[in-house]
Amino acid sequence: MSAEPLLDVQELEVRIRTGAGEVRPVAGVSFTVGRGEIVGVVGESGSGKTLTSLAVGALLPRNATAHAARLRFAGCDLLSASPRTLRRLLGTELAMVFQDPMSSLNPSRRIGAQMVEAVREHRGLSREEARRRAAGALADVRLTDPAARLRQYPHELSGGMRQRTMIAMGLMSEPSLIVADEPTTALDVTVQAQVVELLCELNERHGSAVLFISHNIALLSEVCDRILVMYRGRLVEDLTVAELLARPRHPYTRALVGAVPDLRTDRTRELATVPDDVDRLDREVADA
Amino acid sequence: MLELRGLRVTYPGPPPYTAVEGVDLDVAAGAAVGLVGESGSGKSSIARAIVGLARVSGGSVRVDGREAAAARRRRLQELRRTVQLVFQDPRASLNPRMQVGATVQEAVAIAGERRDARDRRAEARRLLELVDLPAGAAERYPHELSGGQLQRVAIARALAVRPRLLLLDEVTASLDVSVQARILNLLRRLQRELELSALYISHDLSVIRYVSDHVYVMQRGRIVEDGPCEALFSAPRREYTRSLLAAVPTLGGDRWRRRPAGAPAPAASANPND
Repeated sequence: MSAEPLLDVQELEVRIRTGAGEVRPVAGVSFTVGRGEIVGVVGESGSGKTLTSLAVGALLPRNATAHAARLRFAGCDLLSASPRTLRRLLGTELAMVFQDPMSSLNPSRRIGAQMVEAVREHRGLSREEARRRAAGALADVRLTDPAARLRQYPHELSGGMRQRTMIAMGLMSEPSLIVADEPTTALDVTVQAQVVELLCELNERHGSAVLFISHNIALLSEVCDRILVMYRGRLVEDLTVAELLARPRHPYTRALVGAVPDLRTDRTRELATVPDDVDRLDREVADA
Repeated sequence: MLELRGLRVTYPGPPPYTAVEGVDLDVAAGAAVGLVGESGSGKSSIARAIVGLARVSGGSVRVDGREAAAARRRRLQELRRTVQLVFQDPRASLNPRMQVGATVQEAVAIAGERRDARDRRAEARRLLELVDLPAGAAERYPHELSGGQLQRVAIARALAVRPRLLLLDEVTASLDVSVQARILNLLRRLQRELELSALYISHDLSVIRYVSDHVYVMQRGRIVEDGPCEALFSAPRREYTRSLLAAVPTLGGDRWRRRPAGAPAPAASANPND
C-alpha cells in the first residue's frame, strides 16, 4: 500500500469572477482523505464547503476557477491532467451525491437509461451488462423490485428513494471516493438514518472513502473518522471525533457545537451563538 | 387558550384528501407546546386550520373558549389578532417591494390602536428593536436582509397586532444552525417577556424538545402520543415515537460507527493501483 492519501488538497483557492471584480470565497484550504476514510466537512452557508467539493470534482461553475499548491486524487495530478484524463478519472473514481437528487436526475428519462449511460461511456460495458449492473446497484441500496425501478421515471419515486438511486448511480463505477453534499438535508430523520446507514455500509463493503458535507455536526460526529470545520472560506479546524467531543480548540467549532440542540441539551439554558463580532472571531481564527 | 377537539381537515378532491383526523390538542395560556411529525403528517394543516387558511371539515377549534372554525368575518378578524402564524420562508411571506419597516407599520395599522402615522412608525421601530434588528433595518427591502433577519421581521410583524398565541410553523427549518440558535433564543425570550402562548411545529425533534413544555407526536394525520416534554422524550410509550427518537443524531453517538472514534481507517488493499 502506498502512503499517498487518496485525495490530497493543499492551499486550495477558489476564485470567482463577478461584475465587481474577483472574489475568493475559498482560500488556503488544505486537507487529505485517506483510502476508505470517512471525513466530514461542517460549515454554514457561505463557508465554502460546497465550493471546495465542487473544486475537487472539477465541477465549479464557469465563472469560477480552482488554484492549489497541490490537488491530487487517486494518484493523479488534477491540476495538470488533460481534460480527457480528468473526465475518465472523475467519471470512474469519484461519485457525487447532492442534496436535491431531482436536480441531478433528468426528469424526462427513465431511471435505467440514466444509470446505464455513465458506465457504458466510462467502462465500455454492453447494454445488457450495464443494465444488469444497474439493477444490482439498486438492489444494493435496497430498493425493492430493481428491474421495475429501471423502467420508472424520477417523479415516480419518493425523495428517499431518489437519493438512494443517486447513490446507486454513483456506485456503479465502484468509485474510490464518494462526495456527498448535504445528502440527507431534505429528508425526514428516519429516511436520513437509512441513507447514512447505506453510505456507511458501502464504505465498509467497497472501501469507498466518503467526504460527507453537512451543516449537522451531530450527524457527522456519528459517522466520520475526522471532521473539517469550515468558516468563511477557510478551514479552521481539522479534528478527530474524539477531539471534537473532548474540547475543540477553535471558538467557532465550540459555538457550532453549542448552537445545535440535541436530545440532551439543557433546556434551561440559552443556545450558544456565534459572536456578532465576526472580525474579532476572524482574529481568533488567525491566532488559533 | 387553544383547544382542538376531534379536528378533521379535508382538502377537496377529486379525490378528497383527509390530512388531519380526530386531533385533540390543547395549548394552555402562556404554555409552549410542540407538534412534531414527519413531512406529510398533517402538522401544517393543523396550523392552517386554526387560523382559517384550511377548511375545518369536522370537530372544533376553540380559541379563548370560543368557537373559531365556524366564525364569521368579524369574529375571524378578532381571531387573527389573537392568533398569529409565522411560516418557514419569510421571503415568501414579505412583500419584496416594501421596506420592512412599512410592512410592520401596515400590521400596526391593522391592530387599529395607533391612528397617527408618526405613532405607527414609532411602534414599528419598537417592534423591530424588540426582535433585535439593528437600527436602520426598517429602511431595508427584503432582498437586502439575510434569512435570519427576515424571519425576525416576520416575527415583529406577527407581534404588531399584540397576539396572545403564536403558531410557529418550521420557522427555523431553512436557517443556518447558528441563526436558528438565535431565533430560538429570541422566541423563548419573547414568550417569557410578553407572556405569549406558542405552538411550535417542526420535523426536528431536538428543536421541539428544546422549546416545548408539552409535546404532541403526529403520524399520518393523527396524534399518536403526547405528554410533558421530559417524560415523552425519556420514556416514549409508542413504537413510532421511539423509532423517530432513535433516528436523531447525537453528538458523539456511535450508531453508525463501525470502528472506535479516532481509530485509523482500514487499509484499502482492494485498490488495484497499490
